Amino acid sequence: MLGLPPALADLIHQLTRLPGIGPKAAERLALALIKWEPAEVASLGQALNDSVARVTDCPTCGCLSQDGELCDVCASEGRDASVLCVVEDALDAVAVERGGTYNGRYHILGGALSPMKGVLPEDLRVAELLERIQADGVTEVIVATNASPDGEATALYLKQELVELTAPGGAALRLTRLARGLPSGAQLDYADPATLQSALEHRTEL
Amino acid sequence: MRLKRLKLRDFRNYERLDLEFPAGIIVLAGANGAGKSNLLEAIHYLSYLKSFRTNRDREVVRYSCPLALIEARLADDDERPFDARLVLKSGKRHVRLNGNDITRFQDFIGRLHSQFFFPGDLTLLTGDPTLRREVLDLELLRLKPVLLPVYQKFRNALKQRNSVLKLLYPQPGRRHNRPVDLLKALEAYTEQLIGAGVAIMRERRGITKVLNEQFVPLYARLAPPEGESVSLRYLSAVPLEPDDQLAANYRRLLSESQETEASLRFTTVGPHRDDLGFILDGERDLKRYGSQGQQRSAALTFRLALAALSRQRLSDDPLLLLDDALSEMDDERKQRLLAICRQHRQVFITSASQREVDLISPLATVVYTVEDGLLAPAGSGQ
Ligand SMILES: Nc1ncnc2c1ncn2[C@@H]1O[C@H](COP(=O)(O)OP(=O)(O)OP(=O)(O)O)[C@@H](O)[C@H]1O
Ligand SMILES: [Mg+2]
Ligand SMILES: [Zn+2]
Repeated sequence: MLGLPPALADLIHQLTRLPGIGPKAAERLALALIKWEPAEVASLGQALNDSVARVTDCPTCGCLSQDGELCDVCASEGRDASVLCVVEDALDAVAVERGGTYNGRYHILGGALSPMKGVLPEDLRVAELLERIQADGVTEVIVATNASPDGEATALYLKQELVELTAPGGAALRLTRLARGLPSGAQLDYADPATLQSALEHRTEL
Repeated sequence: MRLKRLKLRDFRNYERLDLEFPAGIIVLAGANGAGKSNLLEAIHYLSYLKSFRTNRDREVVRYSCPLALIEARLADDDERPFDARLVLKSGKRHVRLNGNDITRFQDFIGRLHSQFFFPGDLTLLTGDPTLRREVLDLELLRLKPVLLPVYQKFRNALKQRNSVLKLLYPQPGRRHNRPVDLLKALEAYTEQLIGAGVAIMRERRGITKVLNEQFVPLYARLAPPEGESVSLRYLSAVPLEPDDQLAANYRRLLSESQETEASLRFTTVGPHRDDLGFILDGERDLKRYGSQGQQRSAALTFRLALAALSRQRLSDDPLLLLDDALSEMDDERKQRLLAICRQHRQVFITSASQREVDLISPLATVVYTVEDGLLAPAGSGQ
């Protein structure tokens, strides 16, 4: 039986270690890659090396940044430091940022609470969050954890942690949660019951 | 719902069966071991994708055969026909509905809606509360599929909360030395538990009420005129009334059970510990005080009430499968049960007693004699 050349087999094997890539997809990727020009391959390798060497977590918020520096949001003078959007991971912040309307800053928790899977409060960046709230004079925290059971539990947990904090001037810290409802462009009769129910509960004035 | 045609190949002691069934009462008569229950078991498979007496598919494949086949033409109450087909091998199933392969079994289960009663069903009444909760929940989900995420939420919150309790109390009664964060996490899951738990308790209380409205008159029809009465009650440690206090009551009970939770390290109050009570003459627990025949009547009436409810709510009269349901009942009760059965669309009744068969025959559409995996018509009563 004709096997794969060992070098190719090794490449395929390495690719299957990536999330979402099964053996079939890895084969297709590998076959495409070996047809690239040597220069293209070299620049892919360079990009990979650079990313690994240079991408870091922003020391303030935990978003993706480069060379240990502040991320763009934290570095920007124009962003409102009194509003914090708390998300589970860095890609969630990128998603909110794509929305293009949010002008506050972020805080990455580094996951969602799940004692069953061994993720405990001490594994989340909650102490850093509390510190920032005091130091930066935060007045509002938007809890944007996922609408999954773990995300909801994390939100309830954060509420416990934050509910007694005060904003500068002694007013209570404003705690908000992202609304849950219909995706835009959605057809009512295609929405699942849970989404519809939640959209009803969080309805707004016309 | 009606079973119009059944085909079996190498299922239990049926090598080959091809039969059309009429509506009404169908009697399967025959000696012990003839294959009466086996036939009902095949129909049960079509309904629930499992047996009522084994978890191992290979046990139902005829001795030393490679696979068993169950195939049926069914019709819903509007006479819309559909075909179900099931192939069982050890460890493998192949399921088809109207000629299409089914990979998600939940798309198949319940399509043929049936209510089943067999002698072991008495454990529904006398056995663990888990069984009764399962039946209630199954029926609730059938009537209101939108509740599924609520159940998932509750189960998840319960598991997470129990994990926190195990961390909070590394040993029974002894608390973790830095418990602050864990206490807050516990509080978060308590909130989730209450949110979903209250919804479940409310729904279960509601379905118990509507089931009871079917159950009480049905039981009264089965019992002698001045006889005992039996009713259903949803039993919870959480006071369910007044309704607007339900969440507050659940919260209070959870906080009062802290010591128990510390020593047991799991959540001890909530819908996962509730029960469905069968109440004799308005005050006593039927499973402690009722006679054999009364308990059997109640378990059977419960199935009839479920059928009546789904007829009322879903305009679907489920198939009734009564395996050896008449034994242990006095003759009067048997007669009255048959009168109730006559009002259902299609009912399969098995019996190993000639006397019983003689009693049923006048009301039956057809009587089959079962012997060694073969069915022969023994004549009809009408
Ligand atoms: N996998 C199998 N292959 C062949 N025969 C089987 C298989 N499993 C069980 N049997 C036979 O089926 C018979 C039992 O059939 P069944 O349980 O339907 O009896 P029944 O008519 O309900 O009797 P009873 O009146 O005692 O309840 C037994 O004789 C048993 O040997
Ligand atoms: Mg039997
Ligand atoms: Zn940053």
